[in-house]
Amino acid sequence: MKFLQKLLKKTQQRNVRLGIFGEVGAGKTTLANYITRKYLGKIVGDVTGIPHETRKINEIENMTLRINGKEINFTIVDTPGLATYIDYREFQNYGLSEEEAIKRAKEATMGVIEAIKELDNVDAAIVVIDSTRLPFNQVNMMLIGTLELKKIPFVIAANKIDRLDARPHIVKETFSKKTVIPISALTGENVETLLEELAKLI
Amino acid sequence: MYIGVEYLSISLFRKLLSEGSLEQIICKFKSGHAIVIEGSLSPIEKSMLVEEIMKNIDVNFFGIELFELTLPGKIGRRKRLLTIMAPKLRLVNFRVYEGRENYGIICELKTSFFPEGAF
Repeated sequence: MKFLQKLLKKTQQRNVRLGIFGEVGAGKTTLANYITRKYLGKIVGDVTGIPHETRKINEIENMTLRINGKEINFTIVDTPGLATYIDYREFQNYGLSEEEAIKRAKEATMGVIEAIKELDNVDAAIVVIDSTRLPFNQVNMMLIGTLELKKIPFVIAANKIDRLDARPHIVKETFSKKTVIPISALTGENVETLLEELAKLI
Repeated sequence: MYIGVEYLSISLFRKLLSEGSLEQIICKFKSGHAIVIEGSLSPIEKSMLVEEIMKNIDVNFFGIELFELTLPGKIGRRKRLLTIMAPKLRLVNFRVYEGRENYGIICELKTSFFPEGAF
């Protein structure tokens, strides 16, 4: 009996590798930072507003959250943004020299590959969608379809609801059969609800 | 440079993708060809394609835009789908639009595409 209780406790406290995925500029790092700052007092990565700021996977281990009375140990994995094209000239609009922009684009392509490969390593995922943009695109469809095929539990965060042009209802309508939570990673609005919904799936 | 739209059968595309021999397709993109296949790629196939595209991005080839369009009618119970892969190049940019009765592929050429004295 004691063995069973121990086993149960161990299972309950297993480490969940939680991947945060999404398109470029969806707010993945902002969300990861909000969560880790709140529970651990530190951030995962910098947010500058320049596309492809996260070009490598960033992880924070051993973050224990008590959600719905359940204690879950997470490794938060902030992944580079997914894209089907990267035009280095866009970075020059942010003041980068041509050389810097080409270097950044090269790193960004490696980041996209890393993010795709990470889909094989995670136990659960949050798909971050910028609710100020139209959600029906091939990057989101590829991402959500892959998670479904791999049977990885996930929730969709319709992010940026702090903005006036946000339309989280469109994200909800597009992915009507999935769990979609409108959030603001910037202000933290509904992030608790997002984690609660995620905990239900783990 | 030749600009064009090419049709490929989905079975050939899948074969090339699964064999990891997409060089021919990437060459087509780089030489200014949009590729159309009748049917739809699975999410895993799309991610394999994106990985290959990322490996080939350089200062002249920026990647592709993927579009999946629904055609009128059905094949049995399945929807008829069309996948368009539109390359983004330094001098050429393909865009796809969906009209009421048709789909279109617009090819935008940058002014520097035409060398001086071309006309």
